[in-house]
Amino acid sequence: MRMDPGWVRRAGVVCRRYASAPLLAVAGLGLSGCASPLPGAATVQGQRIAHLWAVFFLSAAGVAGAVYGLILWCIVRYRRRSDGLPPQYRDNIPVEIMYTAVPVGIVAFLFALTYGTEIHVDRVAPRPDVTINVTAFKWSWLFDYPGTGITVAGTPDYPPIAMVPVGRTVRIVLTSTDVVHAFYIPSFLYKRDATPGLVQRFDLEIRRPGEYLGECVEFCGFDHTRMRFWLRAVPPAQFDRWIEQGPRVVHQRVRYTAP
Amino acid sequence: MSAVRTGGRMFLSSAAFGIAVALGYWFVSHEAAGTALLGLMGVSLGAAGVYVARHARGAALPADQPESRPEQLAGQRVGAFPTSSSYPVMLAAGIALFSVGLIYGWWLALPGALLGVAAIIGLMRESRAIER
Amino acid sequence: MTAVVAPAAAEPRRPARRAGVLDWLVTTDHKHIGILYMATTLGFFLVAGAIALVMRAQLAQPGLHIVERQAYNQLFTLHGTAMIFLVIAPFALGLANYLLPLHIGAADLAFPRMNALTYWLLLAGGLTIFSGLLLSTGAAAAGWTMYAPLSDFENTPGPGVDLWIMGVLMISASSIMTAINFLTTVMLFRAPGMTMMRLPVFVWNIIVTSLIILMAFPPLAVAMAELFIDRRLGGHFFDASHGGSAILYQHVFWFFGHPEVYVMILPYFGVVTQVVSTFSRRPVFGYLGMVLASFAIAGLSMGVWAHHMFTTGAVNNPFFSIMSFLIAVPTGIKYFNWIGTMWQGALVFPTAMLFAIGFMLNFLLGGVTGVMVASPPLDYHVEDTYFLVTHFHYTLAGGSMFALLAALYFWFPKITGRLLSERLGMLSFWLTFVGYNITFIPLFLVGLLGMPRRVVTYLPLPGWPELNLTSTAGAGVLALGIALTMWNLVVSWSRGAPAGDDPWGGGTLEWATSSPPPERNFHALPPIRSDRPAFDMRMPQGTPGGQARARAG
Repeated sequence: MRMDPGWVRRAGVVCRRYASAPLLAVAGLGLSGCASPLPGAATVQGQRIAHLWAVFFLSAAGVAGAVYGLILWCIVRYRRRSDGLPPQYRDNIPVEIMYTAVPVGIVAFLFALTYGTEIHVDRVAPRPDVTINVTAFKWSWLFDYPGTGITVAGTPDYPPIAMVPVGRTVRIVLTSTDVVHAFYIPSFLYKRDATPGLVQRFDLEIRRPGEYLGECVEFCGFDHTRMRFWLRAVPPAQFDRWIEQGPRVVHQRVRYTAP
Repeated sequence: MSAVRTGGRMFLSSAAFGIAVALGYWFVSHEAAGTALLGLMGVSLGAAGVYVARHARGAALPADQPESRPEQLAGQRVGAFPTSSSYPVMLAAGIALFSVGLIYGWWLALPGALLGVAAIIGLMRESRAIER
Repeated sequence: MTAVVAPAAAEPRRPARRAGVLDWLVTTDHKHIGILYMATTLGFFLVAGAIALVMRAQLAQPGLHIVERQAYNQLFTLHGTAMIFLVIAPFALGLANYLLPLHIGAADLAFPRMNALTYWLLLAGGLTIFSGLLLSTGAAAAGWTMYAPLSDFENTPGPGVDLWIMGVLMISASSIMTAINFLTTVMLFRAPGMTMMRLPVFVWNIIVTSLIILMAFPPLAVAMAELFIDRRLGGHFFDASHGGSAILYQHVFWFFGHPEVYVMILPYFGVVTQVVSTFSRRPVFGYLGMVLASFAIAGLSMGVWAHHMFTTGAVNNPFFSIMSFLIAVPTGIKYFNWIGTMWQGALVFPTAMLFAIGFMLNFLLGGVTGVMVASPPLDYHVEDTYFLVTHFHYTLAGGSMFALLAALYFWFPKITGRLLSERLGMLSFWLTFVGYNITFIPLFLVGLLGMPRRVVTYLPLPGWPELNLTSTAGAGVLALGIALTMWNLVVSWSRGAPAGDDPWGGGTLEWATSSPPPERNFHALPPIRSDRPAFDMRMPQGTPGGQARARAG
């Protein structure tokens, strides 16, 4: 059958439009791949994770499909039809060796890809363009821009909005003052725990301007749910102007819940 | 092969596995907590394995002989299985009171400890009766 | 007084005596204790399930409608704690309590009084944990993982966490004693001819489970003791401001916590194996491979704990990643064993078989998503989101819970002498299976969109309310399915159709005795020449593979 590109595009549109519709959700993981539930990765690091995700998703779908096929085949084909005793063999050594060896090969392949991706995602640049010290506390965040005197502070009611430049390497230096929190930005497909007594460093290179929701995802007590923040990614020139406005403490004054 | 010996080997090989993973983990990670946990796991399983292996020598059970039949045991004593005892529930109550007493105070812990000790004494006296 | 004499073959059958309340309190009979275990864990299951429904109702739409923040924090802590410590794991131990001596042709477990103690400790531990609800400060509300320093006295005052610690200590002591009891029984009290290589796969998996318990629960007890010392006796094990380490708690806790998930799945692998083999009229395919796979899972499970800590940045991610990936191999072997058992079989589909197949279909999704979360870069995205929550629910609810229900339908006739209603059972299966997947597939998606776990509400971002509402609707269907099975249990207990000794054509020894079994389990044992002695007894001529190739231990 000839593949009609227009048909494919229309199907894609339909899939995206109804990604959240309940029926489609029920229809299963296969359709969920078509609906691309992964948020578009907004960082260079996140893009690599998204690529790895695609490989894993296809491998998982392939393996699951094959095993589902075998189970359903058994259910349909070997339904009891007579009172006769089916064959009573117990082993088939070549088959057993095969179904041990093939999975070993699959996981070796997946691990090699994982390792390659992780090296890139975890790499920290020797000289990042911008450094931000992020401190998690019950139940909000403090963004400190060292050398500029600028601090962005938040509360559960008024989550902080931190400025970050697009296209530059942003170093996050993360810690916590009380309990374990986690710094998570779904659009970046990335999180790191903020552990008291530990300082964590990682780099983000944001690809496009926008406002990105951040959440605490390590349960931290009473107001865990509202421990959110926003990253406002702007072009470098605009970021520089924001920095040049001089030392200050920025408090968010409006309730800000959605972009 | 006797199952007791199999059991001993199961413990000893698990112990060897624990020690091996502990060493490997130390060399790739240099992380103390996990190495200690794996190493201690290996050592404690090793202790259990040595105990079982020592007692495996004399154990020749009919269960381990593939051609033996259940009737062989007919009329023989195979073990002591009491059908009822009031001490287990008493001991559990004692342990529970004592544990919760560690939170709320000695007025709860002390009766719990006494109840537990009484239950243990009762269990021991009962054991002597069962063995006879 | 109580020395047991093996019965002569011709002894007449007599029914077991009916027990009064006091008898249940002092019983040391493994069958009675097994029933107590299963009834108690089903009670906790209903409580924990009701809690899940309240949470789903709260999450149906954004905003605080049903419960307040702190109440919600208590609810998810209790749901996780109860399901893990009081339902999925101890139901399996209770089932093994009932079945293990029957499976190996023994009169009882090796230490009957210690067995009774383990049950009462489990009950006391569970009640201790839930007793926190009676306090003005409430029950523990720091998540079932009880991460320090959130669970320390400064961040979570009030005795709720202390009660939780004491309850978990009692449960861990109970589990360790049970493991010792099972291992001793299997080593010493098998019937003549029941060599190790003729043990039913369920028994092998209980052996491996017991081994895992012995390796994993002592560290849990250590973690709990250290937490208690930090809270009440001025310790600083996990307090970074005094030289302690929050990461240390995570190491010790997950050193227990990951093996624990295999404690919660291996017995149910055994259940599914028995059920599939029986209803396919086939011997277990690849028996030796299945046993070795269980041991491989046990070994590997001890070396993967820090895959729960990939996002801390403080562990060796590649080491734990490759170890976690490798677990997929023995787990896969089990799937192929089940398929090989069904292959060319003669399959019938009573409710127990349906739940076993439901287990296979659901657990597979838990398995393949397990490989995803074992990859650190993917875990960076999905860790602690609803994707992760859904992954482990597919293994423990879609998996273990389905196998638990299969076990109920399969062994209820043996335990009570009565059949469960198949009509109610089928209806219950379809509602449970469909409801389960409607509940959880949307949660995969909302997790990928970034919804964190353990939140009382969420922002109305595109897709989130719709997916959550669908999930809540599915939870209602799922609850209906479970309720039908519970109703079925209650009604059939007294009014079910008589089952006879062997309603399914089972292979293992329990089907060669009466239903329910007499006081010492067997009046006479058939000769044991394979892992299916009851099957061999029924068809001595028809099992060339079953008998001739049975292994000598």
